[in-house]
Amino acid sequence: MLAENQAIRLDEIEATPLRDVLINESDWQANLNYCQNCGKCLSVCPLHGYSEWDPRRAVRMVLLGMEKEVIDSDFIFQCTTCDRCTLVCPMGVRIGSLVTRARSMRKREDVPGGSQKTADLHRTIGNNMQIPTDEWIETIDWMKEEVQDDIPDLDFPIDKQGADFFITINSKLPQYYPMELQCIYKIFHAAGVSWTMPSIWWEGTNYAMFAGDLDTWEYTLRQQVKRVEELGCKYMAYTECGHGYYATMAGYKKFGIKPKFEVIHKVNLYAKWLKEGRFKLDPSRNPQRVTLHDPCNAGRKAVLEGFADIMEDSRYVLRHVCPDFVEMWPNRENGYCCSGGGGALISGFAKARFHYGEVKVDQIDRTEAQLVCTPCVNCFDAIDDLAKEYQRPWKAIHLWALLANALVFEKS
Amino acid sequence: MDTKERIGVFIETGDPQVAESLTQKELDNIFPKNGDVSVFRGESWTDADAPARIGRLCATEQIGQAVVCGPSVGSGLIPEWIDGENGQAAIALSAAAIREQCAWVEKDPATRAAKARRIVEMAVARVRGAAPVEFSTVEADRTVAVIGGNHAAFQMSAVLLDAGFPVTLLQTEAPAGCFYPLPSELVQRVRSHPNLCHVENVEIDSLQGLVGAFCIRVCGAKENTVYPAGAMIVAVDAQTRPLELGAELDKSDLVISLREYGQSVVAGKLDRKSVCIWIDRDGLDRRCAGQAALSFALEHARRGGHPVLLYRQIPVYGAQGQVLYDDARTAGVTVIRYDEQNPRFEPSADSLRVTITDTILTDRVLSLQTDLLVAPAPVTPSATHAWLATLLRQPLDLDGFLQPGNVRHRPVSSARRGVYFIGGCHDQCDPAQAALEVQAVLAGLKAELPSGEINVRSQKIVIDADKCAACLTCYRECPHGAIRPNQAQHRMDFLDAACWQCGICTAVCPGRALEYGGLSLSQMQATLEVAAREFMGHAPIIAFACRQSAVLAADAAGAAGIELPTDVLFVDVPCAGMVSDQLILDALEQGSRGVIVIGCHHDNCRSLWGSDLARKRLERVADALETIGAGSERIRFHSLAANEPRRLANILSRAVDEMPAGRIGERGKENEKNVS
Repeated sequence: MLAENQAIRLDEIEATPLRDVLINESDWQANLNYCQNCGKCLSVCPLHGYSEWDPRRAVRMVLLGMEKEVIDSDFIFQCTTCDRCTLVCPMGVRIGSLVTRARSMRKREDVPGGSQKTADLHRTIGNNMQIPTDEWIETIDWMKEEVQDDIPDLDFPIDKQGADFFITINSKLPQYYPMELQCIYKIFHAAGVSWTMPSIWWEGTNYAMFAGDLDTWEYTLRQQVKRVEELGCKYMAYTECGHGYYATMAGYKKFGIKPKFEVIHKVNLYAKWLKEGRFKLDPSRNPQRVTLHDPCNAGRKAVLEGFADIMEDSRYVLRHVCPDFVEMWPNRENGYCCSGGGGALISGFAKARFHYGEVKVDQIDRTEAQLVCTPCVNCFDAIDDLAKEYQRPWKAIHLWALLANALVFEKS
Repeated sequence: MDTKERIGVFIETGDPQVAESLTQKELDNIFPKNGDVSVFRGESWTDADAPARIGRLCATEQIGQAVVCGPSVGSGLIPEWIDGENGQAAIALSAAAIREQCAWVEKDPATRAAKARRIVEMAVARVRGAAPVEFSTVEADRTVAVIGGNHAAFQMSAVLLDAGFPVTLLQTEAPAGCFYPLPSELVQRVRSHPNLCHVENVEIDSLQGLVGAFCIRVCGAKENTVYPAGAMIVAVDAQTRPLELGAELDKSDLVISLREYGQSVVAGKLDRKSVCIWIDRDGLDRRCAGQAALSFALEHARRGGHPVLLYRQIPVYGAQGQVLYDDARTAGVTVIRYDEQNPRFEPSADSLRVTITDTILTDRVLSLQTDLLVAPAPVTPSATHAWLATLLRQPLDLDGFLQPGNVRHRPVSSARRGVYFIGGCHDQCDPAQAALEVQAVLAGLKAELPSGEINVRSQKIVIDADKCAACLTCYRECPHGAIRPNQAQHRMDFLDAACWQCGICTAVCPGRALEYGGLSLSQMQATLEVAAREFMGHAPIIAFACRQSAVLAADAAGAAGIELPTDVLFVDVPCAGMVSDQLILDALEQGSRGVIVIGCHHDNCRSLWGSDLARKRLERVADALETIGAGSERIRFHSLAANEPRRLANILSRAVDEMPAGRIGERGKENEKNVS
């Protein structure tokens, strides 16, 4: 027990901006006042037990006015923003909002790791990796040529006015995994829809949300919307990304953006086209055992916010392209963080990631799968990092890769 | 044979399982045409107008007793009779609830049919020879006696007077109110009502009688006076001790009571002030203190004040419950929960410094400055509580307050018809809570005392006066106040209007002078004889199932498709307390493998201690069996709730696995020779 002179004087806390905004702004409504201190949130939190911090503690401290400590803590940046806490809270307290809002109250220079820098890059040129437009177009075309060796009639325009689908891509793809672009081309080609690759504002991620940089978050969304509307596209086909999809859908609501087009996640498109019979498939081309990781942002958090999730559609597609698909447990809304959520991949808390990542490793081990399908680029990297750290033989794979691999194209 | 003694068996064929298990051929085998049983197969005998149809058939076919065989019997509560048609006497009813015993969860059709057959045979044996069901009418006084002097007492009186009930208000204490002051307009309105008989400074000497005819004797300065009433409503406040916070704080002007806090907030005296409300100082405060603290703090916060509530536990059951807690916190009341260590208060000239450790943030000390400290007076039971409990012959709760925490009777009822507990019986009086309780009592009274007469089934308990030694055992054990000594005739009187027909008295009578009306010992023995016959090659286990617990749980099990073991047969009883030593031994003697008695959990028994009696009785019988070398493993007692079907399945399966095989009763073997 600490001595009296170390007591925190609650009545001497002057300003409580975090508490005020959480309680008053219905948009961020966390209803902290309803917290019963029951502890369900901490029992499902991946970070529980790693340090003395947990969601309940953070809520308690904010309620009592001790919010500076919360804003300055490592906890809010170690947090994976998976929202498992929000899911289980019996009083409906949106604990996840607390973390994002707290992040936004840090000064720019105090945001740990690379999230802020990445957000700034996104703002300047329209993508995280600061890939200039001409380089981007070069990469698109290069990959198109590769595909055309096998599928000569595959072609698509760049910046086509009035195309139905505007494609977004994670900037990691052209930078690190350009071959994956080929999978995307094949799928859209097989679907027989009208689509176009944009030359700018094609970025599918949004690290501004991770950094708590609300201004950049809004700016980048609006720029992208402007570009899509300029091209007059009906749909934005959202790349296999979790947080980007969430940042977009939740961001539109939060910032009052009303686009003239509809956003559809690629996984939902694959399932739709599959049901419409647009694909000819040979699942024997994917003989390995595959399990599925449900990205939090496009799964649980989509359900909590009320927009379309990808959980059932992922499974629908997998069952058609993989003869040996097994579920890990728990899954769907009850699934567990890949270990890279909330910007954790670049915020510098690797030790924490690998600590709670053990649960993920165990989940995957039990399925005895060789491949972990992750319809999210960050989850993909996180799972591959876990495999390396824990020396496991399994590895991550995108859903587009499994689908594209199973597609049968008639030789003309 | 007297044609009136035919038994009607009504088979509900609408359910395919039942139809399949009890075909016409099967039934002709069980009940030959020259016997006393008529079988009626029909689509449904358990829907809403079924009783009327059954009644008409019984009238035309001259049937005196009926058995209804369906998947379950309505909600699981088995009625004991069906009203007769056109002036005919009511028909005693037994139920063969096939699903309740999971006859059709049995996978094998032969087993299913055999079980259904056994269940029907048991039901017929049970109802054969049932005494006619008769009714009588007694006069009822509609005056309601309200005992007490707090909010609840006055609210109750007001509501009753408005509803046309004459009220006798026996004020045992000066109207004070504890946390909430008593509104004088309410007191005036009640006191000035022409139908009110008001007596102040009352000391109750005795409370006797039954619903419709209570008799309250009061000690007065001059002579004892008697007040008659049809119902009694107890609304006495608990006591409060003075605040004792320690020398320094007790002297300080900065410490006020919870009541004063409430009044000051409403009067606008504390609008900008910060206040610390400290509850659970000596352990846990009663619910009323927490709820009063929350409502005053909520109002204070709405007026710009800064209340901080320090607590160990805030019970949120009752009228406002969780909503009040949520509203208070949303309005800005800070709540801090402490645990082992009490908070510390240091008064200075015009404020207090409070030091506390929150139960979540245990690694730090919190402190704040406050203008005032508010503490509720500790609430304790008063001597009146104990005295009234003695007079009413009802138990106190664990803390010594009136009306124990038995879910069957809370919030307002008791085990005695016409006796209610409201307001501060187990807490201080909370006017919002009292307002709801008062409405609940009014609804109860309208059902119990609808007019100047009460219509009641007569002969609920039948006494053989020759065997009665007037030992008063039944009187002492009756939880419902339904037995009265008749000194002139050296026997006991059974008060039908007060009787709940639990059957406890029949089981405790040392002279075996009492029988349950409509279910005599010979009827029970006939049922046990059928039940104990060999079933599917084994001696079956007989489970005496209480209707408030095991029977409902078995029905739930059937509905959920949970399997209950084949070898267990249910004999339903109104209360586990009715299962006497004699019935247990009889069940074994007839040739069953073992006996299980299932009653409600402790403190859940409608008849207060019926279940506990059964448990102790079984222990004694087990000891006796052990002593004579017959082994105690063949009898078991379990308590159960109606919503525990899986636990029921568990209990029965374990019994089937663990009880010794075979039988110890000789009579069963003889019977088998006679049954071909």
